Amino acid sequence: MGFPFKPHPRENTVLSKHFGQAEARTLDGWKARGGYRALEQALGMDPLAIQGVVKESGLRGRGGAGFPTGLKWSFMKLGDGKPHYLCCNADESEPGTFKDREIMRWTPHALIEGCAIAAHAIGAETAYIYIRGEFTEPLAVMEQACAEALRAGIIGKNAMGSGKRVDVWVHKGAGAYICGEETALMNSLEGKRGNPRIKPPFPAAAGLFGMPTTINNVETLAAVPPILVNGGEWYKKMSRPDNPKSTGTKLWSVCGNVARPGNYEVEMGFPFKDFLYDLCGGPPPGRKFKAVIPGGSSVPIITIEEAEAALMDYEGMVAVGTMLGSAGCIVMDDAQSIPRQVARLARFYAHESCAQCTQCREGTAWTTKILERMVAGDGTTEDFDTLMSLADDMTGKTICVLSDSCAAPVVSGLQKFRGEFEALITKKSVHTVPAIVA
Amino acid sequence: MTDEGTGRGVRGTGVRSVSHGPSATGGAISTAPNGHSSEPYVPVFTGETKAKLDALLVRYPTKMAALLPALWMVQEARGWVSPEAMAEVAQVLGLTAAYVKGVVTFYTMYHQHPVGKHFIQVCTTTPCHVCGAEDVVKAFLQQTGCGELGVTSADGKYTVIEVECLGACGFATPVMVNSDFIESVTPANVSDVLKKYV
Amino acid sequence: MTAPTANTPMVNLTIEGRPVSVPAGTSILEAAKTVGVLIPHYCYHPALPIAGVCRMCLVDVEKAPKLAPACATTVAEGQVVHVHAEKARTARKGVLEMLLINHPLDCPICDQSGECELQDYTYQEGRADSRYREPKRFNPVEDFGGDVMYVPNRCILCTRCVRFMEDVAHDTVLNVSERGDRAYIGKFEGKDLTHAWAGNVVDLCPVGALLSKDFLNKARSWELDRTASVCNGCSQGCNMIVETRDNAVVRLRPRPNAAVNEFFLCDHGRLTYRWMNRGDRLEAPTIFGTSGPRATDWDVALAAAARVLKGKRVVVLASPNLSNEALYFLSRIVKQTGGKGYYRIETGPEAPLPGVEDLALRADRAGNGRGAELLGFERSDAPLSGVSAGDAVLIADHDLSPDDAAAVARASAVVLVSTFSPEALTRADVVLPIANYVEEEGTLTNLRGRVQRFLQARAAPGMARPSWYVLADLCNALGDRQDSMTAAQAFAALAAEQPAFAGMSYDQLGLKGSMVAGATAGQTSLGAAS
Repeated sequence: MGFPFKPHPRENTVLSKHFGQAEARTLDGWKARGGYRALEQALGMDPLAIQGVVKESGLRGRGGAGFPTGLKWSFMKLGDGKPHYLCCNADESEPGTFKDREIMRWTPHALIEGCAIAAHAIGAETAYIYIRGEFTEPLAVMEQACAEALRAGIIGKNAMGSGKRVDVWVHKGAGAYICGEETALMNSLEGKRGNPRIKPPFPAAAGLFGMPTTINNVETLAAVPPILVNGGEWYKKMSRPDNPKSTGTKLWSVCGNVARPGNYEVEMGFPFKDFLYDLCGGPPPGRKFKAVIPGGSSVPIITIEEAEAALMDYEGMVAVGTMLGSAGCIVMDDAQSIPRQVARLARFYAHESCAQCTQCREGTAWTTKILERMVAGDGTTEDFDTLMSLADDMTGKTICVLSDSCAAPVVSGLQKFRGEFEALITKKSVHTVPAIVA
Repeated sequence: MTDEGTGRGVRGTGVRSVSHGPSATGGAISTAPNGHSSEPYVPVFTGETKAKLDALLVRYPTKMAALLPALWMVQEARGWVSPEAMAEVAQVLGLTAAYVKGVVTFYTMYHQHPVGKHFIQVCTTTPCHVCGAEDVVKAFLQQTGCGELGVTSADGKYTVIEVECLGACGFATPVMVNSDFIESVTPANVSDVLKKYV
Repeated sequence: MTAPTANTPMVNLTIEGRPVSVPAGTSILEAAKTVGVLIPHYCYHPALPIAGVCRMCLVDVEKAPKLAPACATTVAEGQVVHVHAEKARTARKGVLEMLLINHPLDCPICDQSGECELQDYTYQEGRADSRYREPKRFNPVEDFGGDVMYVPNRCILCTRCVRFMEDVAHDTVLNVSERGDRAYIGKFEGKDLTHAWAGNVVDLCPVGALLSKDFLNKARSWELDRTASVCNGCSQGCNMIVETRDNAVVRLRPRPNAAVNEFFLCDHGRLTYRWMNRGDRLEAPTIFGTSGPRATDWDVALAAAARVLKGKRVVVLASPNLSNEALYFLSRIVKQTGGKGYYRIETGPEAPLPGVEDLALRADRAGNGRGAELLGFERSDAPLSGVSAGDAVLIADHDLSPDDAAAVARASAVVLVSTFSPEALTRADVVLPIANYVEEEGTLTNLRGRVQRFLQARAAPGMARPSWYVLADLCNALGDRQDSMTAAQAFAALAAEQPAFAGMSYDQLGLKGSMVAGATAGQTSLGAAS
């Protein structure tokens, strides 16, 4: 639903139909809404069979990477004698994204059910839900729901009487965007600094505590119960006829300068123009849309013209030079200064860099300083070249893609809104000796 | 000329000052309070708290994995994570104090120094920024009497800082006061928010 | 990197146009070394777990979508790797530029200058200027305790120091604090780098961020002469490099030896060098007559020494730091005169380096106790207690306790062959000055029986001569003909006579040493000994 607004008729509220219903949070309320039928079914299935259904559905990771979920699960070697782990990535920190919080605070049992099914499908007995520390309400709701489910025997030693063990634990983060990166999440769970790890080894080979691990996003896991109940074919049908690679629904978190910000659930391939003007209500009164960052701040900025031509699925976004990412859709109107916002985004990345890789640690901060100096009116023409050169240094050369994510708005901002940047430059390149600030 | 006597002493050692850079607006300010408390440190992990930690330890195959939860328990009990508390957590979990400190300083939500009674965190990342988050910050700074980011108000009641994306972008501007999460704060309703935190 | 076995398959690839064949599991960086290609890097070190954070070692692997970190990428069959291709060079240039943006660029006052890898690589392939126009980050210098000071502004956060303390010293005293460009190497208040092996972080630091307080501002690295040697601070026998400036020893550093000390030297060994420069040395052969001490020529003094020793039972108190060669000639004198040879070793607490097998600061605080033992000397805490009135005592570079001195007083003749004059010594008939072990060549035997060469690092003062040379001459003067004119010949004489050293020669020992007969080589985690 365009929660907190009423669902728009063109939405398909697979995941969001119960948003706003306090009763849906309780075990009984959830069961009354059809909950835990999927888990019961799954516990009686062979893990490979569950993987098959999810593979067939075409479900792809909803955290931002879009990796096929069934395929990811199949990387776990069943029966290898090692403890397997499922991690649910509820660290939702990508600017613009606020869908997982809604899933957790309104339909916690959907997530628990998804985790339990996934755990069983990958041969894991333990699932950790890593929730960012700032999510006070989701944390409380999830803790309560897990306790309820444990008491009722839905999870725990003997999940739903199946004889199989599925433990689901909530783990609280402590303020680090980088812990949304799957390997950093694992390090953080292990009680370390949230530093991403070098891959290989991949988590399915050696992950949490060195054991085979699968990490999935909240929305991905929440989609698993309906897929199991309704079948992979049902999910697959929700796609563009000419693009079978993107299937199902996606929660789009719309925010920024838009009349009705909120979470909207539409099927893959929805036309972006309709979405922005019809479902989301268009720009604020008296303003016009200028730019959109459709997939969370780490994807390239597109102009409103480019957005209006786009279709809302993975390939459709790539076709207009950006990415679907987490579908955290930040909309900016003509009152905004693109350079100022690019600078603000760079500051975000500089703040969140874990400090391992040279290019990220130094590059994000340097980029921020240049942009802030430009916004303050102290930029020179030389700064353009430096920024583009830094963006190149920061792309494709680091352990994780945080530095690439910092480069994306810089490059796309400079490419598409060059005029706004140039307007900030009042002087020619001037080489001054900078002060040392103690 | 080489000398055979004592090696020369270290020159220019000093206390670390606040490092500048983009993080200056995020997280609690890391300037050390003048002097340490003269009261002896009272351990956190006794009685019920210890029992709670022991119950948590069962969830993980290593003690180290209980570090973030243990630090949360310290902050909930004391309001911040002191060096003594870091040493206690280290001892309880079989880690070194230096290791614990490295972890504490990584995560912005752990306070390394006492903060005001009401720790106000305003999101100012781009989605909120374009919705006027800076004006919300200004309103808080003015109405709490703090005046400056990161500085506790004279009456000790408030500290205001900017934080990065709180994950409630559609409910701009979200604000956390301690662990209370408040959505849709605007300059107009800042005073209402503050009414609850006196 | 796991040690290969006979069954480890080999992988063939090409690096910089050179064909390479290495065991599976080898990293590209290590594979490149085998064909003489150095891939620039900072955070990688063979003795530390792989971090892959500095990003200097990015190489261009054909058909791969991204540059690969050579230290963290294992070789694959048929890979074609370019280290100096445009893409890799540009990436390295970017890393170097970024490492310098907050750097104080204070080479003129930085100790690391001349041995700094940041200087080296920047000079080799960095930018000639910087495009950084912003204020630089500044943090004050910190004292990390022990011998180590930390200069955060020069730190490139390679984390070698953190990984060493955690994984090799097993004493996690250092951390990375904070995040992003605010990050620095930190520690906990009150917990310092007092670990017995902590000084190694200074060697590991590629730049001038971690410095030795002892060495601070003492010398420029290009002023130093460097000589291969072996530490004699304890019986481990760590290989080291003696660095001198103007004939004074100013620094000791470890020399890698996989069978003994890997890459490390303990703080005790590293910092105990001032005695090598002491000024209160015996410098002239001296005879003590009725009119007191009289400096004289070598041949006169040697003849006098032989005269007073002849016909008596000679009791030798030999320093366990003397070389095998010197001890050998002493043992000949002992045998010839029907006497006895003793040594005493001071002990201290043992301090292992847990991450390396069989490496510790040993309780026995001397370098050649094993050699002394093999050559027939007896360890005793009261070495001269058996000295009687008719005996002669030969003190070979050993200090004297009051008991020792009392025993010496009983003897009918005293010959001092030494670098210094023991304070408690009240009489001597002849004094023969010798070089200390950094002033001569020789070998020492470590506790496991490894015989290792040390070379001459500085000139001996005055008329002092190598210890083995003086003692061989003394043998000659006593009628036991010795022809050794070089230390190699002295060692050959020793090896010919002593079964434990059979088959050894200086050429055979090289600079890694080899084991005495019957002893087994050590093996550290890096590989077997040769």
